[in-house]
Amino acid sequence: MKILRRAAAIPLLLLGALAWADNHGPATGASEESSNHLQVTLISEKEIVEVNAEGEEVVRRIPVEVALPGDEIIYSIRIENISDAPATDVVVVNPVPPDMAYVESSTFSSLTGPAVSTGFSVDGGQNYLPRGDLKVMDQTGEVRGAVAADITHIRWRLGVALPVGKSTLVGYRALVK
Amino acid sequence: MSNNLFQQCAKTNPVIRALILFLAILGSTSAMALTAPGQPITNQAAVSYSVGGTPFNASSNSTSLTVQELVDIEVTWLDSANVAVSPGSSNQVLTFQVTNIGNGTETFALSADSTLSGDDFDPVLQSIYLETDGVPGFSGGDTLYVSNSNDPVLASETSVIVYVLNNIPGGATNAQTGDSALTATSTNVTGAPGTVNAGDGDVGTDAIVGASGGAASFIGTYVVSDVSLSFVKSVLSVVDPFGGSEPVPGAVITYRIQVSVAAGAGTATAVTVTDPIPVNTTYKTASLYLNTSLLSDSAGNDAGEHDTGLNRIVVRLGDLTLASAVQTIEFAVTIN
Repeated sequence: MKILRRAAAIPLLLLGALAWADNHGPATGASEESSNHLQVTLISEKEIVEVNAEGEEVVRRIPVEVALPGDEIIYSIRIENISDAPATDVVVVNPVPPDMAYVESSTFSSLTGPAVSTGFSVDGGQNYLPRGDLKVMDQTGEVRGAVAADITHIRWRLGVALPVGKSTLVGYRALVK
Repeated sequence: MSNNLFQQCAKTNPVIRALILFLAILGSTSAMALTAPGQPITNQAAVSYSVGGTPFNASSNSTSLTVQELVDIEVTWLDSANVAVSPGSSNQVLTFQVTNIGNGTETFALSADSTLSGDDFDPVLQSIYLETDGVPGFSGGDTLYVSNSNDPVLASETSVIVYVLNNIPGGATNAQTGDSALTATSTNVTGAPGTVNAGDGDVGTDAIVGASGGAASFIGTYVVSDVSLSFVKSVLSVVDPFGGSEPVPGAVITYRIQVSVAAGAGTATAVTVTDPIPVNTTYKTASLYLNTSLLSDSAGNDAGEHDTGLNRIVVRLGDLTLASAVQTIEFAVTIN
């Protein structure tokens, strides 16, 4: 049993390791703030549908500077280890902006399986739970399952170290209220 | 690394999850307001991590986008059913609601069209009124709408009640329908969704057309609800003073009048039956019945009386529809 369990764990870790991206330098158009070890880049985009020369509809992502209520924004956070030592216990937190509502099931990560766990908060980032366990109490005292718009913060916990010179990507989508 | 994984598993273990289950108290359950034009939406991510066992924090760059003005409108017809009208009636009212479902303040022009196809008759458009007197329903205190003069100005997610008044043609017949549509159009920008009027939104933002195209319509419907009443008068009995049934002087004739709605979907309101006492007869006191209940001969205390001034019987039946039971009036006279 012990051997089997270990054997099962190895491919998952390999999968996680395969998800590291090579560095391609900073994304254009986004201002950057560096720490000593990790460079964290937030990218805000929206999707537009264009018709190409063949008459097909193609979805293209463009940086977003203006938006309307109801527009869906894609927030991507790239974390790059620019130090000479692996970074462990990496935890990424992003508050959902107050005028936006999280889009259900929209989180993404370049890491998979136990290499990343995603938690959600409905109390301003004090507590994080898996999405299905979130509950809220309304003003009448009634307890109900949280809806996507109740979510205030999203957190990604990396279960693996971020190696030197590698980067990883997490993110989610949200609607302008 | 394996230690991290172990912690991760512990954190997602259902038992431990249950222990740390918590509740957030929502500040408000009211409807989410649309974000106002000009509002910036900024975002910044935070990262914590360890290098060589020492914890560190890092922040991302901050991104910002600015919300523009969405020009969007909705028109709904508020009458719960087709509005019942009579042929030839004037200024019949359809009630609509115009709502600004955009996020800015916009001015909307109103128009109505009563010459639509697909109905049985065309109502004749008279006027459009804005609900302004605070009294629900159209009334004289409401304000006549004049295009380009008092176009409603609506803040985001507010609405105005609009009345469309039409005359009903005299030739319309029972159960026929006639449609009239109210259209509200943004005076700022219309067009395919996404059309931009640069810089003409609130606080200098772009005004951008939403799904409605910047204009919306809704059709309201009249239905002719004519009613035809049936009156059937009969002689129920003749009793002469000699025990026979000859209409001789001194004989008592009992009349029966039966009233019902014979046809039509409408309501006959305040139906009143009057029947003169025949010449050469005298009303027999205490002989007036409505649906087997005796009515007093004097006025003012029940549904009917013997009107001595005009020498007739009067019975008030109230409102009658096709569903109402047949109303039976009986009274007697004596041959002079």
